[in-house]
Amino acid sequence: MRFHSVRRGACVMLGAAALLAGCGGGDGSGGGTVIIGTGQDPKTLFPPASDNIQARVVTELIFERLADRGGSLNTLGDAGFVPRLAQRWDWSADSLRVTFHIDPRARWQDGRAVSAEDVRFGFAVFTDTIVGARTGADLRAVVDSISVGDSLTCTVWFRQRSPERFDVLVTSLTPLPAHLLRAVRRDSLALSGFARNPVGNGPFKLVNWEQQVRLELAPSPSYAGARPALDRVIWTFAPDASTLVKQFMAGESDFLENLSVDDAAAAARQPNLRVIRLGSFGYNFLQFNLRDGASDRPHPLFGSRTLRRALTMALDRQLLVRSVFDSLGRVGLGPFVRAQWSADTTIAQIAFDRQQAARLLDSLGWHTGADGIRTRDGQPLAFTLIVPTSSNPRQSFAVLIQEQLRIAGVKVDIERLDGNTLVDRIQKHAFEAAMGGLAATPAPSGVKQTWTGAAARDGGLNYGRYENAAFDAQVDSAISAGAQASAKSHYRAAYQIIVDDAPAIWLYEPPTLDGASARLQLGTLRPDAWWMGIPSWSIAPGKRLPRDAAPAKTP
Amino acid sequence: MRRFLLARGAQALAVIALVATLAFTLVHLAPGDPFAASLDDPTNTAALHAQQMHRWGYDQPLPVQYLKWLGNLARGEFGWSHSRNRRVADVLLETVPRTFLLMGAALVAGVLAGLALGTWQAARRGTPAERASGTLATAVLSVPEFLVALAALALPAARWHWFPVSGIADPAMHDSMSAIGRAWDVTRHLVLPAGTLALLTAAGVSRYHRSAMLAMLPEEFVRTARAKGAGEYTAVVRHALRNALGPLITIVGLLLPTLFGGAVFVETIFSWPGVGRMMVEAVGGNDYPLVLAGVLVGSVLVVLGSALADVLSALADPRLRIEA
Repeated sequence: MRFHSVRRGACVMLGAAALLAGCGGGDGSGGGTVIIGTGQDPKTLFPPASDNIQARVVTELIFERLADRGGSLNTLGDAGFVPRLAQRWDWSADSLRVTFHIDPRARWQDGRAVSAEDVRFGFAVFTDTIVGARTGADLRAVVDSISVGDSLTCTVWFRQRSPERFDVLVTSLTPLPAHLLRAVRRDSLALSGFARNPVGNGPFKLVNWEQQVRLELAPSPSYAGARPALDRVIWTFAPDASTLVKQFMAGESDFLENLSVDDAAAAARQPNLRVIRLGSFGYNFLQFNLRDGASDRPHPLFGSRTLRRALTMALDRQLLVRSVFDSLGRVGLGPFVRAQWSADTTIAQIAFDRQQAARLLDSLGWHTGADGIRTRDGQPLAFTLIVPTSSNPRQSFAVLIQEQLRIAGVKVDIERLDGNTLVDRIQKHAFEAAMGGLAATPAPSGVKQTWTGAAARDGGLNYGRYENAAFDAQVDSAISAGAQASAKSHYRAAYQIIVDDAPAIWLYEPPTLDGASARLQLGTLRPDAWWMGIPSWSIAPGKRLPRDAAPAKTP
Repeated sequence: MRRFLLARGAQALAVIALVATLAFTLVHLAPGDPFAASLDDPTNTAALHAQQMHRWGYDQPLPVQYLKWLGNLARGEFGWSHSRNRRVADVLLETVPRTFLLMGAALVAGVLAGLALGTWQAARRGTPAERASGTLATAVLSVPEFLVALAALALPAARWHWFPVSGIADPAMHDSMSAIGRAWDVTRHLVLPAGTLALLTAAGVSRYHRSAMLAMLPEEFVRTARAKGAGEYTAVVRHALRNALGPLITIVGLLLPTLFGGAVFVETIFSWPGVGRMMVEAVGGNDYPLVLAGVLVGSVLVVLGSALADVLSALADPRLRIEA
C-alpha cells in the first residue's frame, strides 16, 4: 500500500516534469558536453544501410534531409513540414512533381557545396536493390525519378498522387555526397570506410567512434544553419539496462531513453534529474494466430471470432494496465497510437464483461468442468501464450492475463522465450498466441504492412494472419484519400472493423519515459524523434561540470 | 620434452577443431539468422532478407558454408561481422587486449590475494577468524559472478561513487588527460570488474592453497627450520609457502577458462568492451562470424591454460614428463 502511494506521488512528479520539459528552452548560452547512455552501437553510419535506431539517431544528426516532419507530425501532403536542406519547394499544377530549392549555403563537411546532383545520386543509391537500403522499396513505390535543373534545383517526379508521397520522400531519402561515393562500387558502399567515417551536411560531424565504447559528435563548422549550442554530444554504450540506469543515476550520463516506471519514479525523486514523458509510438497486444500453426486451416480456437471476442471481454484491460504501469500506461484502443493524427479515441471497444463472456463461451459449447476449466467434447479450453523474456512488462501482462482468463475458465500456459527464438517462432507462425508489440510511426498507413490481408502473405508482418476484405478496403481508401478528414473517417471505419473482429486484444500503449539531467535545457522533444532537438539543447553556464570544459578530440 | 610438447600441441589442435565444428553447427542451428528482421520492421522485406542471405552465402548448404569457413580460417580470415560492419579480425584486435587486461589484472590480484589468505588461514588454523574467513570464501565461491558484479555495481559505484559505474575510460575527459591521467582513468574503471573476478579467483585459490599449506606445515623441513631458530614468518613463508606453490601451477592454468567464462558476465554488467561482451552481443544478433571467432578465442584460451599448466607442472616435476 505504501509502495503504491509512493509510485503515485512519483507519477504526479512525472507529470510536472513533462510540463517543465515542454517549457524549457535554451538561454542562448553555448558550450558543454552531453553524455547519452544507450544500449547498442549503430551498426553503420551509412544512411541507406542504417537499420537500427541508434544508427538512425546519429545519421540524422550528421546528414540533413530535404525537409522534415513538423511538430504536428502530419504525414499528409506537405502541411507542417519544415525546410531543412531545401529552403523551399514548389508543386507542379498536377501535383505529380515537386521542385526543391537547395540552400546555397549548404556544404558537405569536406567543404564541397551540396548540389542537386547529390539529391539525385542519393535517390539512385537508395533505390538500387544491390545496395539493399531499407527504405528503397518505399521510395521506388512512390518516386519515379529525380531530375536536376541547375546545381541547386532538383525536381522529384512522383508515380502517383498518393497523399503520403511527400512524407515518404523526405523521410526515406538522404542526399549523399556524389563526389565522394560515385567511384565506389554500389555493392561495396555499405562496407566502405564512409560507413564508419561519414561526411555529412548536418549540424553535427563525427569526431570519434569506438565501437562498444563511445561515439562522439561535435558541431559541424560547415553547417549552413545555426550552430548547435553544445560543444559535444557523446553516446556511451552499455548492453545491460540496469547498468545504464545506474550510470544515469550516478550522473555519469545526462540523458537516458526508455526508463521503466520504477526507474522513472526513482529518477523523479532525485533533485538533479527529471523525467520527461513523451507521446508513445508503440502499442502492445495479445495476438491470436487465426490459423492452425503455419497451415491455412483455421485455428481450432482462434478461428472463431466469437471466441476471440469472448476472451477480450473476459479481460479487465484497465486493471491490467494499472497493475503494470500505475497511472502512466494507457489502454490500447486498436492498431494505432494516440499520437498519430489518425487516432480516434471514440472507437467502440469490446468492454470488460465477465458474465457476457461466460454466456458467449457457453453458447459455443465450452462448459465449465469440475476443475474450473471449460471443455468441449473432452477438450479443455486452453492455449499457449509465448512471451519474450526480454520484456518485463509483457511478462507481467502475461501472468495477469493468465489469472484473469483462469477465472473465465480458460487455461493459459505461458512459454517464455528468448528474443531470437520468439522472433523465429512468430515469423514461422509457430504459435497460438503471442504477447506482441509494434513500433508505429507518425504515418498511420503503416497499418497496411501489419494488419491487412496483403501483410498476411509473403513474409508480411501480419503474423496472426487476420484477413477481412472490408478492413483492407477501408485502409486502402484511407491511404489514398487526399484530405485529412476523409482519410480519418476511413481509418476510423477500418479501426472499428478490426476492433470488432478482435484478431488481437489491444492491451496497452507503454509510457515513453526519458530521463534527463536537470542541468540540461532541452526545449520541446518530438515524440517520434527526440534526437532531432539535440541541436537546440544547452547547458546553463552555472550548471557546468568539469567534463563540459574538456576539448573535443580532433577527428 | 619435445615429444611432450608435440603431443600436447596435437591434442590442443584437436580440441580447438572439435570446438569450432561444434560451435559452427550449433550457431547455425539456433533460431534466426544475421539478417532476421525484428517483428515490427516492415522495411526488412523478404526480398531484401533473401538478397542479404545470398550475398553472404548463408543460403548455401551447411557443409559448403563450413568448408568455406574453414578455408578462410586457414588463411587467417575470420570473416565479416554483420553487427559491427567490420572485419572480425579488426574487432578481435580491439577486444582481445581489453579482455586480457581485465583477466590479467584479475588473475594477478586474485592469485596474490588467494595465496595470502590461504597462507594466513593455514597458519591460524582453528581460530574463529580462520573459520569465519573460510566460511566467507566458500560463500563467495557459491555466488554466481553476475550477482557479485551487481553488488559491486550497486554499492561502490552507484551508491558510494568510489568508482565509475561502467566502461573502460571516462567518455568525456579521457582524451584530454595526460598519459598518467589516462592510465589512472583506465585503472579506476578496471577496479570493479577486475575486482569482481579477482574476488572469486581469490576465494577459490585460498581454499586450494590452505589445504596445500596445511599439508606442508607439519613437514619435517618446516619443523627443522623452526628448530634452527627461524621465526614463524620465515618458517611459514620461506619454507612452507614455497613448497606449497606446486599444485597452484595447475590451478592457475585451469583458472583461465573459468576467468574467461566469468568475463562474459562481468564485461556485460560493467560494459567492459572486451570479448565477453562482444560474444553476448554477437549471439543476440546472430552474428555468426563474430560468435565463432569468440568461441575460437575462448577455446584457445582453455587449451592454452591447460597446456600451460601441463608444461609448467612438467618443468616443475620431471616425473610427469616421463609419464607423458
